[in-house]
Amino acid sequence: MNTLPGPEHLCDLACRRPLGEAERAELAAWLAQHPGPHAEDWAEEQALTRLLSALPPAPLSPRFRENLLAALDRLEDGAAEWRRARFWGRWRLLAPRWRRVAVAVALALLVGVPWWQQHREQVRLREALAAAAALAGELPDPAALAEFDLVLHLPEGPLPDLETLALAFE
Amino acid sequence: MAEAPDPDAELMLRVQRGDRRAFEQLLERYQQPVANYLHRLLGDATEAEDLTQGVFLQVYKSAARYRVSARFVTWLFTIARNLALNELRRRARHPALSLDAPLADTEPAPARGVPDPRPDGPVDRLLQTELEAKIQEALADLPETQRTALLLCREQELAYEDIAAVLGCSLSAVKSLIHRGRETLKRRLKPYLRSGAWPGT
Repeated sequence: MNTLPGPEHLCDLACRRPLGEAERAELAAWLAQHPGPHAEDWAEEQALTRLLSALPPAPLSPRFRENLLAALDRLEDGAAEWRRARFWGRWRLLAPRWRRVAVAVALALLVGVPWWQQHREQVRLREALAAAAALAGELPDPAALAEFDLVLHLPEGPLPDLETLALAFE
Repeated sequence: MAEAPDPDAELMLRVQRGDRRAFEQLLERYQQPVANYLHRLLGDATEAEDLTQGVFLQVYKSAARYRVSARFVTWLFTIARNLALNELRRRARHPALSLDAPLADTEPAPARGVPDPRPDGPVDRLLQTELEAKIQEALADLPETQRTALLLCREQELAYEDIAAVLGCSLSAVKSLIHRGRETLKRRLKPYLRSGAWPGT
């Protein structure tokens, strides 16, 4: 791109921003090693960058941000208004017969959707109860669990002989 | 090596989800760079401000179409350039004299209504205004592609790849555009390059 002779990274930097102190020193060292007409070219290049860099920023009104955000609010309000207007515009274009159909469908949905949801809940509840009942059928009889605590607290090791125990009680 | 995630792209994804705060952060970061670019491209401060507003409204409206595959800054300046090109075409169809433009080559541009914070004297300010007008004039005479390539390279410090994406051309074409633009500017601004400094600095 750049026809300027010299270190390539400095050529690239010089057209973006004014060179820093170290970069200027590097350039000066290069120019000292390569005497010729390059110094004037480099001086022009840097002068142009300095001129362009010193251009003042574009003036923006102090209320720029507020105005923009207000315009954004208007844009969003306008979009919502447009959607409403489009809906009612299309509604008015419908033939009376289709309007009645649309109202009937809307009413059906209004009543039907909650009824359907309630129905689904009841079905789920019935299914859960049936599943619980089926599970209860597989459990032992509650009477068999009456002595559960006693059995649980039996000492470890071999059980005493029942006949010897009966004799001992006698 | 994995590329670092673009923080602007992350903000833009939040904008897509309707996060207004993320949009305000992008606005804060880019309102001045976009305004600078449009000001230098169009040469009119008022139009540049209006168009900057248009750019950000467009960004908000088009948020759903943004894809992370593109860098946000590239996408933003592509929108800015397209709007500016529309404006330049409109001007070409309906030419009008801008109140901000210099009245004639020999007359200095009138000072803008925005207060100048520099504590220079009136002569320095006049020279400064004249120099700004000359640079603006020289920039305005460049073909649009050279102007955009130069401005994005110098003011926004965009990589050549990003500038190529904005302009829709190759990398070597971008480098060539920048080189030719700078050569033209050097010829046009030669008397001012001798001192290499702005008045009063």
